[in-house]
Amino acid sequence: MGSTFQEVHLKNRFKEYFQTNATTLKFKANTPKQAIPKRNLKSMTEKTVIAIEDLSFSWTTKQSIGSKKRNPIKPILDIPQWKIRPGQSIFLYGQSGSGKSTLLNLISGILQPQQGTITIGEQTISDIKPSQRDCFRAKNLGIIFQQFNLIPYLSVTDNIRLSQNFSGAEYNHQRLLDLTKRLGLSENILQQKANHLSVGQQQRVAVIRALYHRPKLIIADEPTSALDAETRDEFIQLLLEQNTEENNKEKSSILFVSHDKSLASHFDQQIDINDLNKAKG
Amino acid sequence: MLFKLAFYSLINRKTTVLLTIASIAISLAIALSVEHIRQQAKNSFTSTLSGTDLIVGARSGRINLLLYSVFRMGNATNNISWQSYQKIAQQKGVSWTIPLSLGDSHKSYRVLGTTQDYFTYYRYGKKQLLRFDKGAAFNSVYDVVLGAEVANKLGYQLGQKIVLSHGMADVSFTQHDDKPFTVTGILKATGTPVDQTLHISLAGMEAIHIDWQNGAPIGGLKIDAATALTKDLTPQNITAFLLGLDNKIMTFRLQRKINEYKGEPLLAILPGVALSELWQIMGAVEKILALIAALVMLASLLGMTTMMLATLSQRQREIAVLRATGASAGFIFCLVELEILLITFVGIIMGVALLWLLMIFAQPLIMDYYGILLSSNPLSSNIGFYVLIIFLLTSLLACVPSWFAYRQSLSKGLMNRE
Repeated sequence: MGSTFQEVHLKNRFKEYFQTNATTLKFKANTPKQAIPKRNLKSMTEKTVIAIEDLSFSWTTKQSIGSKKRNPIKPILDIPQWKIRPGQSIFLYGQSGSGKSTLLNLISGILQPQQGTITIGEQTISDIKPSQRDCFRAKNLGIIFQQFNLIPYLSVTDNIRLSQNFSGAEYNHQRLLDLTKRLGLSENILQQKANHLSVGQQQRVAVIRALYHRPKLIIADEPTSALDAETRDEFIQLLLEQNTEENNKEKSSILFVSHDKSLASHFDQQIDINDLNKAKG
Repeated sequence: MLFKLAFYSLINRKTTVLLTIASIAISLAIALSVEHIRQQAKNSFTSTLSGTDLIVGARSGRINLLLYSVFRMGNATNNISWQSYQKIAQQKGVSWTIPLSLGDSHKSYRVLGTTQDYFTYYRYGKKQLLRFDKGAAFNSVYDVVLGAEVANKLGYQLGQKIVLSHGMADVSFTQHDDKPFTVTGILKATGTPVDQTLHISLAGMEAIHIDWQNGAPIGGLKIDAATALTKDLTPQNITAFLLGLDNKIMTFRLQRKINEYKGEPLLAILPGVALSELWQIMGAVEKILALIAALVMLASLLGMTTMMLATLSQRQREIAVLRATGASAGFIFCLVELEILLITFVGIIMGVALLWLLMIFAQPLIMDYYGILLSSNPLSSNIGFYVLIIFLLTSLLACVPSWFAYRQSLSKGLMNRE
């Protein structure tokens, strides 16, 4: 299993190499690269929910067994600058292997960039300790995965309360009931074990969990890929609507990631990851 | 939160978890029962005799003397003359002596000729004296006091008349049937060879052999029980004797004195030293048993670690969800560690319960077959210490899957599609 996984990875990187190379060539030809000042004044004052500067990430290999020193392989991501304003919904498009999963892992603070900064709201996440980063994630991010969103052996309520538990925030039962109602779920599923729910119900519970703690940013990673075409648009509508229904002050930004371009029209802004990522071999 | 997650995660995988718990419980019960029986056997063995300062017999091997005088196993190569016995018993500083005269049997139980001092001075275990279950010590020549097992197995009652056999054969051809003995007392169970012994007076021993010489009846000479009583029943020889001193400091001096006794070749041994020497002979078997038990335990703990390690790849998404909602990598480490400790904890409780049950069933059997009195409460010995060691070992072993989970949650991102 491990070997096939690695093969896929290598293949992906190979593909990526050529793609990114092509875009950089284009970039070089059309617009001469200008020096981007690191954290200029404008970017400090402007309100952003994600601000990425000079970001570079590559997988590393150990020099030799037991050695602490690591050699970078080729870079996967190289993003000079990217900003998302609060309250926007962003559709991030990219085929598999284009580095979008890596980008999401970096934004959520699971992986660390070799270079550059990622700022969520006012917090530059590479500046803080790993444990603080985990707490920050619990407070400020809501993450929806493509399928496996809930801990199967916990009740729906316990699943929704996970990030509240990890961040140490106070439990707001009324908010949980409100969200349940708004998402069209009946109250009596709250005590059920998550694995007794249908896939559709599970995705709705995942939305409740993502919205519950009013995060700055909701990251949705192909949340519709397990749903059929009909329920897919319905689900995106629901996610966006529910987000809009929140008070404007607390409205979360949504970063929706997919390889399915047909979903793009639902969102405020559409971005192709290849336009962001300048990584070359 | 951590505890809740660990608990429900285990409930969720109840089949594997229950099997693992069963394997730990069984191997723990095996390991601990081997250890418990070993300890109890050793205790029971080394406490067969206590309070005795020296055992004296004719010169032979130390183990041999111990075996026939205390364990009623094997035979003496030679006797001690009554004169020598008297001489040593009257030495200054000697508090008491118990003469032992062996050689006869009854239905394969040994008959021991001794004096009433046996019931006053003989001590076993934690310096306990012999106690009577029924009746009292022998008073007249043809009285016999039975050990608990003898009375129990053969179903003898007080007042019953029994016939002793000459020598040790199961079905002896020569019976002392002309001089039957009356049961006057039955001792309480001690868990020592005393239980398997019939006790008669030295005079009784002399009386049944009065018309014998060199181990065979003297042809044509027949002295009946009543006439025998009129004769001088002072013994010529005894097999060995136990000796207690007023002051233990004297022990080595008297031992040397006896070993250098000019009258006849004698041997005095310290019972404690000889007992532990004898136990060491059995030590190899004991060590192998303990080793096997430890390996069984280790195998089941390794099995559990493997089980946890194997489930980690299945749980990758679950871990990703926890990480996404803010769980730290340390939390994931603790989760896996706690799950293993919970399994071990339940396994240990089940194992000890199983051991306890096992001991309740095994106790009468072991008492019957080996005459070893096991305490049925295994918790009384230092099993708590072993449980603690197992728990510590498990928490160390648990670090392997926990560390893997920790590494995995750091290096593999949340969004990873294979």
